[in-house]
Amino acid sequence: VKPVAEQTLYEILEVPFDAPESEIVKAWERAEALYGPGSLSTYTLISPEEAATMGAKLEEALNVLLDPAARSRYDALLRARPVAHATEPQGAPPARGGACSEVSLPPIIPPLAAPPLAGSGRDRLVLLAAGPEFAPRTGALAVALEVLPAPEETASDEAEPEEEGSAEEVERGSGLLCARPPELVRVSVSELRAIADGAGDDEASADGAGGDEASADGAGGDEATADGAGDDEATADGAGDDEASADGAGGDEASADGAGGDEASADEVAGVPAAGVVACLEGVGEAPKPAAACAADCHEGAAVVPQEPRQAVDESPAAGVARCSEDRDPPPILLSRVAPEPPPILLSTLAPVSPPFAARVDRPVASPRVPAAQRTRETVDARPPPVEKELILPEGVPFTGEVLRRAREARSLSVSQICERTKISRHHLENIEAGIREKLPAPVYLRGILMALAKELRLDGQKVTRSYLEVIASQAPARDR
Amino acid sequence: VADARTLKLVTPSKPGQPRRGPSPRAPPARRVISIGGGKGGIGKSFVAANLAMELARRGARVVLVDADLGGANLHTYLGMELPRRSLSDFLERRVERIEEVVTPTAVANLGLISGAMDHLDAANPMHAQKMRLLRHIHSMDVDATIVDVGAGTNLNVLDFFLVSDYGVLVLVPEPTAVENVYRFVKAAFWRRVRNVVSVCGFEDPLRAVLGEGAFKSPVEIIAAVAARNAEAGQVIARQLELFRPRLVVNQARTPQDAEVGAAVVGAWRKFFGLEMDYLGHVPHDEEMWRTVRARKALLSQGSATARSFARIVDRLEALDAARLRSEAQP
Repeated sequence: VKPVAEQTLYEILEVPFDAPESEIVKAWERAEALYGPGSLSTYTLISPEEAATMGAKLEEALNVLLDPAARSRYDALLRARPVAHATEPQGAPPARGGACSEVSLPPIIPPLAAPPLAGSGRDRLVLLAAGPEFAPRTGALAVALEVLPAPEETASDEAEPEEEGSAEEVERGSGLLCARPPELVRVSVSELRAIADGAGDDEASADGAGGDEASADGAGGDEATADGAGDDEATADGAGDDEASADGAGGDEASADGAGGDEASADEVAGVPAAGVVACLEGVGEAPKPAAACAADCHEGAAVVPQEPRQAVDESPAAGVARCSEDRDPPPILLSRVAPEPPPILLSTLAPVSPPFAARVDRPVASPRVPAAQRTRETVDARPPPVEKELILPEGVPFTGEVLRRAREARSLSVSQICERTKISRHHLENIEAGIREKLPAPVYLRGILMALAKELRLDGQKVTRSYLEVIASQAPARDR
Repeated sequence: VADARTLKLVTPSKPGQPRRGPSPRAPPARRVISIGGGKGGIGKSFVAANLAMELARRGARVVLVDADLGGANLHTYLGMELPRRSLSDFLERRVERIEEVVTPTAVANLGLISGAMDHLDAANPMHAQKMRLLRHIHSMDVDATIVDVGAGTNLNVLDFFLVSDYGVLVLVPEPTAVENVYRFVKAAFWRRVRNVVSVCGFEDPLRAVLGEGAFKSPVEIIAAVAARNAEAGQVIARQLELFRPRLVVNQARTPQDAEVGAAVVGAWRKFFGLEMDYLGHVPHDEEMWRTVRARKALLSQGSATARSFARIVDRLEALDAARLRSEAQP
């Protein structure tokens, strides 16, 4: 028996690794009753410290396992480190889990800022594959892979730009990037292939890949990505290539890349919208990355992209949605980010919203011949009206029921529509928006509902949940008085 | 010796020594069950008496041993007068064999060994007396021996509890009883480990390990012992597996009370790393109280309490059958 502090969240709840959400909720309630405060069965059996550890673990389980994105990241971490828990100091696993729960990933993932792992000196590649429909619950598969800081030597000779299907591209890309945890790679590759297949004909998905490339273009430098894709040879000599991509990105005024190119958070995004594949690299915190590592990143980003993005872009169907990396285009839709200037993204401001969604344009992406800056503007202009009247919330505003209602209305969504999409029952939704404390469901359900609701409203689930629960909790004494 | 299951092991049997009273019959149902739980007044005697009666009703030959030496009253639960013979006759060697102090009861197949002592210091038998009693308890030729140990965690109580093939812990769903049951079961577990260690000669590694600092669970201690002495680690680990008490929740008033048993089993495993089996609960029952008050033995069949004991015995026998199968395997 492992001490509680070393048990995984699944072991704590005594559920299988693949337990469905409903089972987890049940197990959580059981565990809370068993080990929570006031439980008869642990009376005098455990010390207050053990009780506190257990309480923290249960809280974490709730935050991580009931949030599909956070859970898939957590799973990936568990898989990537089968022995980590045994060897690491006690505090480490919860901290990591905390990092996971901090970062709430939308179904399609914008480039992520660094997790607090930054100190480890490793870059982490998060390869995300989402189903074509981006089903919010099940479609997202996140696989976190560890990459050595400087994998150029393997990378440079393997990358073959002349590939046809995006799936193969990705497979190759992931294979060469992440030779380290083999099973992990296998999982991701098979998933990706499945997704690519599911996305329909190979041509389409290849186009999609191109379109995605274009999406980076749409927001960022067409040049940059072309360089990134083309400069396979150059990647080896790190600094030069890094320079190139930074230039390319910088040229199109999407300032994030310009800044990011040098910063750790400069992420090359090579998503495949049609296939729903987004690969993004997480940089390391605010610390500037070594040039070599950055070059490797650029290269890796490029490796999953077809060689000739221009044609692909031209042909890209409407499905090839323009998608931009968060840091290239600071869209006005961001709810909690007021400052227009792009990151270095810190964890706390991470993923408040998923710009890719907001930036979705329902028309073919503009031709790459158009100068980058101009195109960027076009993309912005092309945003559908509902997005334009997006509610802009200053940082730190608590998410009360009223705020949630306004956020919903700002998206032109009715209560019924939300109910329809999220399967949240109507009276729960109404009570949540009305903020009637007594009528809210039990905290464990409330949390799940808020997560789903926030996701639907393109808000940061973690932030909304925490804030809402705080607001509700703070109401209690006032009301009782 | 390494696999010694009980206090039998306190006096490791020497090869030449003939064992007294081994059953000539196949021993499938022979077992010694002890009933304990630490706190007083939680119904240990009540559970012991009814368990014995249910087993006897099913045709097993059962002897109920009242080992609550200072406060023996099982005869009252069985609706009997004070038996004329008691354990003190055996302890003071007025009789040679323990079978001679078994008093028949009104229930067919059920005998009682009363612990009601005629002399006032009999609650504290000498060590040699106690060992003789434990040996005899274990070698009686019956299908089941049920030992009702007293309250508290003193060494006599623990040894009577540990003499059994398995102990049944009685718990009422109250914090005081939960507290005491944990204290009791931890004390019993350590007593047993100490016994094993001293018999097998592994005291030094254990002492060294315990001297190193605070350990939270037995599992950690065993890992530390095994690091010093692999064989000692193995022996103690084996004892861990074998120490598997069973649990009955008495006086359950609500459905939540009935679930306390399962919760205790879960918490015990989660935090102490050991297994327990939950046998079931006995509802709080006014009729039971009236029955005891009237000094009658039998609950009316079909009463909730009687049914609950039937369920408990079903579960007990299922566990025994599983255990026999697993022991037959290797």
